[in-house]
Amino acid sequence: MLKLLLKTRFDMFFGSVSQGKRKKTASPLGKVMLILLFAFLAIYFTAVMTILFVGIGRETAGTDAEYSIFALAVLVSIGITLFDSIFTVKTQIYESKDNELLLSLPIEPKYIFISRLLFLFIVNYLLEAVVMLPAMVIYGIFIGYNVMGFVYSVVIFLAIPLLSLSLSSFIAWIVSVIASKIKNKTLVTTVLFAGAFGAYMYLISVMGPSGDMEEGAIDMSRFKDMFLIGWGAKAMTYGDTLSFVLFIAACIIPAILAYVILNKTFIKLITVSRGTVKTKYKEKAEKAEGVFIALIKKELKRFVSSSMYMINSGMGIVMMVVFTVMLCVTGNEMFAEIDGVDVSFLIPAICFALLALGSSMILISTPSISLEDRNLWIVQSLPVRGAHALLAKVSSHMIISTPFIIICSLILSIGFKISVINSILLLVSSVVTSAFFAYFGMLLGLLFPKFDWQNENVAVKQGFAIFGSMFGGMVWALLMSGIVVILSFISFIIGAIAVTLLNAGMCVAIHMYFLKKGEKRFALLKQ
Amino acid sequence: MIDIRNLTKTYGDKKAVDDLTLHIEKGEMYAFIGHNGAGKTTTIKSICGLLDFDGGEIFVDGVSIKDDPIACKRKIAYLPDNPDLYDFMSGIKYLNFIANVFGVSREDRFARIKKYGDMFEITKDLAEPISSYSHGMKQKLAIISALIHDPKVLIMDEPFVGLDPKATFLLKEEMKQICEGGGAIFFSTHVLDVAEKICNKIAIIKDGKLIRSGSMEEIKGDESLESVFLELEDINA
Repeated sequence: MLKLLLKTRFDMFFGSVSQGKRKKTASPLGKVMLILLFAFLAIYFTAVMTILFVGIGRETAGTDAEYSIFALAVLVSIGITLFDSIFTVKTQIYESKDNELLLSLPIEPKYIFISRLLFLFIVNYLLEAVVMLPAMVIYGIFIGYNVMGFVYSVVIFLAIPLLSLSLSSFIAWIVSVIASKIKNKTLVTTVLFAGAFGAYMYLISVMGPSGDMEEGAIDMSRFKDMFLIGWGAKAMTYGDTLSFVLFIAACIIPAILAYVILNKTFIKLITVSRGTVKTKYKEKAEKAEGVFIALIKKELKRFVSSSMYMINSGMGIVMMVVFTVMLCVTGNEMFAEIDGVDVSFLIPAICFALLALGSSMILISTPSISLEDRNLWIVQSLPVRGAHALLAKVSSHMIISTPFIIICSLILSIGFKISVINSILLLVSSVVTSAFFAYFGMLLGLLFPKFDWQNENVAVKQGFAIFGSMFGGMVWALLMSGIVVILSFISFIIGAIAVTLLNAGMCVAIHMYFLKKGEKRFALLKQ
Repeated sequence: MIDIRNLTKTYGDKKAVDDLTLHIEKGEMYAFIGHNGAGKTTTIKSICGLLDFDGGEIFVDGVSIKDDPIACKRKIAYLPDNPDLYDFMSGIKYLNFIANVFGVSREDRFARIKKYGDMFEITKDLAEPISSYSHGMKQKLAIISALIHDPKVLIMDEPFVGLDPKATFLLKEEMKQICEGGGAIFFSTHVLDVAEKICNKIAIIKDGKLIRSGSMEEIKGDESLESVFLELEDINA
């Protein structure tokens, strides 16, 4: 039974290559493409981590800082597995659309629960492997294991996802318990998850290693005796049994507690009747609005109604604001002089790069079609042009993101005392670049929608459209930034105008596509 | 009002609808019956512009659904077999969304929401999110949203599923009034008693082919619709 349930989870996961054709499963080409994409990402991140660990290995071999590789590996492993699971546990376990179906079948609820945990475990192991395996190999090559150190390394590798998943499960459990007792669960869920994410970011920034990473001279000394990370590092480096026992206990005890509590409350939480206070309807004549406004309002309502949609797709906004503030605080010193050369003329270009990269991470338009799924018939059956439905989604993306881009642009302009003309150009070029990302995301969402999802987290986080929009957007942002930086050696004005025109041209091209072929494609979705 | 000419729709090798021709005039209430998978929903979705079809033509009030789907959709109200509505909206927000799309005036929408909300006893729940509605309440809301723009043509797929007896009665009465007012209704159903009592026309589809259509009297004569339907199913088996 467990095997069957687990297989179902994986089928759902790989269903992300199914592109909305009627009852069509993932095509062989789609599966190959997806595997290649994952392989590329795995190789890329493994290579990055390997380069980092080689640098540390060279620097620390033969010194008393040999634990640095494992200290960093444990820190990063816990960080990425926690980051992944914190957003997936709640939707995978408590909000899956097939909960009621499975509970109606003669299946013990604990198997449903365990199958979901196992799925998350396997995903976490894959993520962890990208960090821990290079660390273990590089450590073996540059420094060398003792027997117990190697054994402990393997066990710790297996134990880390236990810790991340139990912490995430506790957070998800707390959020679900609170949300099940109150009316406005979206707001509470968003605030709690945003708080958890903020705390996570804060801890990472406070605990993060310092030093020149390229030269491998990362100072990890403060982690040597630190709770958990120090234990893991010492167990793996020196084969220290006490540290190993402490680390394993820190992983297993929360996991057992999490399993017992969550398993006991699983059915209660997923079958709870939500909403305790009834909203009274006041009869009044509502204002009539135009079709396009109605469509935009619908999209905005959709966005704010889902905490997962807001958190995942709007993450770029948070990061953009945070990095804007950080750049303003630290940037003036950084840009004053580099190697004796005045690079202050590059400040507007760097500001543009920050805003462009931040905008590229805002993915509001991309999953909007996938999220319609069972509701797609509504707009398709109404006297609404498909192109208008698409443009309403693009517009809602812009309505949400543009105010933040304007605010960040103004903060940067004031913070760095950028001239008026450059400030205006920074603002305009950033907004137009952001418009391109809204159109680009919508285009990919239209071409590669992901329907038949069991929880909306899948629509928001998985599929070609999301990956393409995220990585394609980042590549485009880097390209645009490169153009602006290079042209800034002549004049920022030229660079800003160039990318504005380029992005505006791309927007017009996609807009035209929506008006012609796009709306036909929209009309045929889910057929 | 609806003119279906030689409609053909295939899924892969399977002909879901095969050369179907049907005319629905003003004032007619047309029941569309057939076994599961006969092609009823495919036909209905084609009329509403939700499905692209391979052959034939469909005209709504003289306008081709292929040439001008928006103009056709303005005249149609469609009620699907499963009321998957926007769960993230409240009932009243959903009705206003539909009213905005159809350009219903402030006064008309207020009056109609009041009328149908009270009729289907859902007014007090309109401020609640649709996600909290039962299946029957969603069906009632979908019906109100179909009626809110005073459509000339009503296309419904299994409209009585999930409705309580009172709501079923009220919907039937409303359907009669629409037809008496010069509208046309085309709906699929498995409830043959209802079709027999309220419809003046009937079409029977089997394996994508229209096997019989015409007035209720022509089709069933002195027999019950149920026995005629079962007979036709056997003959064409």
